[in-house]
Amino acid sequence: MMKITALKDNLLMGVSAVQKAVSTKNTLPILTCIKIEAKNNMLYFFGTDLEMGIQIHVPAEVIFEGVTVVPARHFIEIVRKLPSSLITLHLASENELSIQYENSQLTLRTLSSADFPALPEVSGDYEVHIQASLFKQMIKQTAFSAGTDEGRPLFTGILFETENDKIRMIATDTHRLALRQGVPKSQPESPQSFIIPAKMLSEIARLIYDEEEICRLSLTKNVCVFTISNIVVICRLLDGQFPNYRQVIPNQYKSKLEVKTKSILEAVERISLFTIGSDNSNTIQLSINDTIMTISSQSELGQGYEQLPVENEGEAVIISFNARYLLDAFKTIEAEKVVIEFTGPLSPCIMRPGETENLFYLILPVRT
Amino acid sequence: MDTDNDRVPSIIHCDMDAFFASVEQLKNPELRGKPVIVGGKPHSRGVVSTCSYEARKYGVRSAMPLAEAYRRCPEAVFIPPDFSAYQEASDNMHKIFSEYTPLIEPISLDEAFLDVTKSLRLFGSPLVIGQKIKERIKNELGLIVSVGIAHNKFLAKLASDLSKPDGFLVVTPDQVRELLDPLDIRRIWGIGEKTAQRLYELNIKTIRDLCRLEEAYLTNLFGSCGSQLYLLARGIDRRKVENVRKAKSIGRETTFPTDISDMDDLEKCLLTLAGDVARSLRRERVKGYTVTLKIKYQDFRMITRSKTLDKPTDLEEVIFAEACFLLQKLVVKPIRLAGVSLHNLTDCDEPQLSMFEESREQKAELVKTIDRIKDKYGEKSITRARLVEPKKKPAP
Repeated sequence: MMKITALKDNLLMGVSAVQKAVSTKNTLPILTCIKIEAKNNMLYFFGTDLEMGIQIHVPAEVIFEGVTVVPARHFIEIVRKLPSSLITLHLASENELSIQYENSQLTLRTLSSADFPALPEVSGDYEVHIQASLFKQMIKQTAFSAGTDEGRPLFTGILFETENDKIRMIATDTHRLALRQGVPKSQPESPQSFIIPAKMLSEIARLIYDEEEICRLSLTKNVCVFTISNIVVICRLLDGQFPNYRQVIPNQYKSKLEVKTKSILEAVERISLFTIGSDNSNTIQLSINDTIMTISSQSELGQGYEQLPVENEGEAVIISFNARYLLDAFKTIEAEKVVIEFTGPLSPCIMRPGETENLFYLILPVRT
Repeated sequence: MDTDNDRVPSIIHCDMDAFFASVEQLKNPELRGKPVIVGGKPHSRGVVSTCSYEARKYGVRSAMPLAEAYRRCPEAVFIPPDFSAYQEASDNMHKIFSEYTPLIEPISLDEAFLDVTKSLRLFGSPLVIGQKIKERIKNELGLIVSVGIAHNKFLAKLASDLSKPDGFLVVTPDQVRELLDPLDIRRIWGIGEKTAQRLYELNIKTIRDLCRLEEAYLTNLFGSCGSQLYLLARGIDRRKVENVRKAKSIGRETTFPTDISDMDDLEKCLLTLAGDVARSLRRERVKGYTVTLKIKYQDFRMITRSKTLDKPTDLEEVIFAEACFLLQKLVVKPIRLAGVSLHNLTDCDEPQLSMFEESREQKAELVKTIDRIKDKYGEKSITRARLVEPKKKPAP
């Protein structure tokens, strides 16, 4: 019986938000759908692939409360192409949703809402409150370092650790590691650790549009629920023991340098153009001597080098890296200068923005 | 001074005639003079792998479905392949080759290139060496080999192909133009159906026609293969005879006796294929970056799906997991054939260093041990529990 009117832009916001949780596999047809529910003068959208669920509510004028389920891809396409005006959604019969605008009407087949998985009512006993802007930045600075190999699921996740007044996020694909630490608005005193798939966190970062808001993380044994403004995201936790990352972080360095982030980023970008060789190595060499860093690479295409002034203390270094790992790190370092510490040509190197302890990247070199 | 290095190369291409069928005829003299088709039973679903020249008279060809071969030549003797016998004959053939040069590049069980450039002082001209090899293979092994001799690989292979069966052809540099000009472009190494089709559309039918095209035009049409075509059409081929041919990919596939749609059965089959591929990779001491799954459905529609890993592997578990992952994305329908292969092979150690690898190192150690057991006690001596077929209960 559901009937509502809403602005096209509000409908679009709703469907765009839940889209990423809708399953693209057609093994269970109901999961390729969106559930739409009108209640309390709000229109709720919900999509899930059982790994992740996204719910959002947008303002609407609810004439009759009710609920329906529509095929996601088709409904999203329709909403995108609607004119920017007032839209009426009306569940005229059991299995037909009519979409009315101006002098037009579209009718879309619906599915039974009884078959749609319910958004689990989760009341986590462990709750962290964190500024949305900080959380978004923490995700962006770590998620890219997580692995993508589904064969090793733990590495596709980000480890969260809460301790005292800090929350840490750690991601690694076994070649590099990102660690970002921040101070949440509030969290319980007892320390806790859990792993959330990086892909889902990137989705959450995308959904955060009001950075002034507070993001609430509510944790249970199997899932973590994120609530930010009008959006609720529920994520399955990854089960297993994250590797002991502390043991790979070197506690002293042999040489340490400071260089302008923008200069080294641009130099590596240019020189890495020569690394597109026949193999997948993407290798560039850094050679540091007193006050000059030489970045070079070569392949069948040709070769190149650039020299940058650096402030170096310690030994001279010659070391090779996968250029992509360096670029990924430099791109998310917002500070003007980056500090890089080396412990040997076959040992991890650490880079961090200035002297802060809140963010660092560890990158393993390439053997040459 | 005349050093070996600036001599014109002397390349011999040896290609056995109807190899598998000839070995079968040797094993069983009753088969001599009869049409023999190696591949399998006439009504099974495989294809002809080789047939004797007697069968070729009936229009039977390699790669033809067995049922079609049966239709054309019902009186033929159909035999399942016996690879150990072919391997043995091939090994004997190589022993003869190796008496004349260490530079042998095997292409398959029954085909090889020999570079005899540096053997001439010892054994005489390439013609003499070629004749000796041909005679000895006939006298000592009872098999017929076609021999092509030229100053590069392409021309040597062409010479043996053109002179088949029981062929012997020497191509000297001054004969190249005359030989190549009238030939169909498909005679060029690397021109398959698709390339040929595009050239035919441009009214390029013979190698003479092809020679009229400029190199830039060909590279425009076919990319880097274009330059290769330009050179080959002129009889120029700079590829060297390489002792160890580097495999570009290693794969296994199997056609099922009946179509499979059960996921569990299919996974078991992928596990077997992955195991075979992984063991071959380790034997060749290479690892692969890209896992490819090939599926042929009941209706013969074929699809392949690939995934590139961030580090190369030679481990069955990794290959199997990726193959299953690729399989899950496919439509579930009865499947006729499944194949697993690895591409982007490398023989180098992964140069990118890694951390948290303890579990993988343990697995690699386990695999090494299993390989040693199989080397010593045979392929069937140890296997995964999942692949063990339940024993049938004895009849009461």
